[in-house]
Amino acid sequence: MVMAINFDQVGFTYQPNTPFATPGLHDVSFEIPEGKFTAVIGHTGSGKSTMVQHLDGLVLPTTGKVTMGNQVVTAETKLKELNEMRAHIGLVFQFPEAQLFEQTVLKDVMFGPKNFGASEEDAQAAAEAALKKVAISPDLYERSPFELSGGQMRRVAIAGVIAMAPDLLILDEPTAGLDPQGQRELMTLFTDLQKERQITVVLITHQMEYVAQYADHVVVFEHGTVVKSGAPATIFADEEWLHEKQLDVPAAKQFADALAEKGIQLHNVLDIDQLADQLAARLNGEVDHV
Amino acid sequence: MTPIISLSHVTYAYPNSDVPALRDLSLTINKGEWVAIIGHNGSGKSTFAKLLNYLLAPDEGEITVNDVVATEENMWTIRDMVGMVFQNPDNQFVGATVADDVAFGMENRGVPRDEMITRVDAALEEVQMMPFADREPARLSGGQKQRVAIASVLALQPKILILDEATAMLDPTGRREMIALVHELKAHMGDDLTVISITHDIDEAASADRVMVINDGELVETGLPAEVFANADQLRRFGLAVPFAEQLKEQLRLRGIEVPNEYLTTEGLVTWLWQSISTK
Repeated sequence: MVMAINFDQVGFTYQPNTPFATPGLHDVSFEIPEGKFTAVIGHTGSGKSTMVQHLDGLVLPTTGKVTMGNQVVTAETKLKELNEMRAHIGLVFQFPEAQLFEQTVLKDVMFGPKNFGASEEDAQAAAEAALKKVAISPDLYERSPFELSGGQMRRVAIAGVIAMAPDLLILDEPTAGLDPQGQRELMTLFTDLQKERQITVVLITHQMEYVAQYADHVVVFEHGTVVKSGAPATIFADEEWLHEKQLDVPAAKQFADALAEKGIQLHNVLDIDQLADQLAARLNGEVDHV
Repeated sequence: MTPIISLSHVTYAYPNSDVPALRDLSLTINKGEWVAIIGHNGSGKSTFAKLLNYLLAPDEGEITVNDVVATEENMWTIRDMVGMVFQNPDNQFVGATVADDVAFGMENRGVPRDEMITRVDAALEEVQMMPFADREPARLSGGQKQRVAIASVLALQPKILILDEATAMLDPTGRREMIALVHELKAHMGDDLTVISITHDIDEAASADRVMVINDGELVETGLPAEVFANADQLRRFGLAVPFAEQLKEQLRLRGIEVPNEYLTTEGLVTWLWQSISTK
């Protein structure tokens, strides 16, 4: 299924037409390219999460329209019409383990596919494949998900989303609270999945390392609207702008900036390999005159 | 240096578990120290914190807090001395306003009203949340919520403040603010406040006076942040993050560059590189 996403002049107001009306989004226009890894960044309260709720039809835009594949969503859209679309969308919230509920690990992962009409056998096959993907061994299938460790619970919850074979995978800070190794494993899992199945991934994150390392495209939110979008290199190139927006930059870039202050200029540093390559060249006396 | 927390051969296993969460743990934390406890998920860090507050009782061994042995009898004395702030700020609020929330713990302990008002104000002042005293806790940012949670604990005048992954759910700004706040508290209160931060955040751990590494229920390393963070291989073996400057040193070494062996902060490595490149 085609899953390019387009926001066209989207505005969203919480509790509209009441004294409690609060603006959530305004004039939001941007695109999420199909089959790519897009990162969404911005401060807490910038509108990132409100935007994501539009992607799954959890809320409807107050003004403007969202196009997802061939589905157009506006204020007039009936939520029921979006059920077909939802079957193609996987959403991993922060702390997804809070959504586990079944008696066994296997049943929990089978719930999604069954809910969207898969037969018992198909649901089980999908669940087993997804559990394998997240490295949960078969001897845990019949255990209660609540007896597992925190990291295992997180992976079972994510398997539940993967089992539905989504064309669009939305991840809201999926690694929060995990140790560094757990974080790495999970991010590797998502990027492998994205490449292997050519799906569209949207990652909401505060971690600029992830943006530099994994994203093809970046969308920056501020005060309820999109203020910039482009490739990570483009976004992180404009130092003054980043500083003004008080956005963090990846550690390698921070390091290169600190060197620049001492008069050592490097070029296009986003990750540690680029940094080490250029520094090694300098230290070996190969003067760079770019 | 006076010890304020001592653990002697402490072992604890959760009910229904064959493997102890903590095994034969012995350590001392001194009055006024800021100690960071690091370890991967499931290493036993949080179990350690819960034992200090007598939320859990050790199966074997002995824990003393400020010369009081942790037993059921002394439970409330211990809890008055040890204040805890947890990961999720939303799970810790009960009051309708920020000030009510800070007062809650004191109400429970029957602190007289006048005294309570003074202490609420002082605690909110300490965490710079006085302008928010009449606000609804739910409407604060994550970092502000954690400040209020700390104020609630400070109002009870604890000797020890335990931050159990208290920065894990905050955005980078909130995280930096929290670390800055602990620095300020330490500067004000000196040896009257001992801080134990259980964390995955390198910046938070590097701010501490001492770092302890817990791995699979055992204390495997204790030292100055500079000592602990200089050993990248060991950190990885324990499933922990390696500071950026150390990662870069490794990468440079792989490219045949001779780099200093001792631990360098980011600034330290920048200076070293600047000097080395300038003399080329």
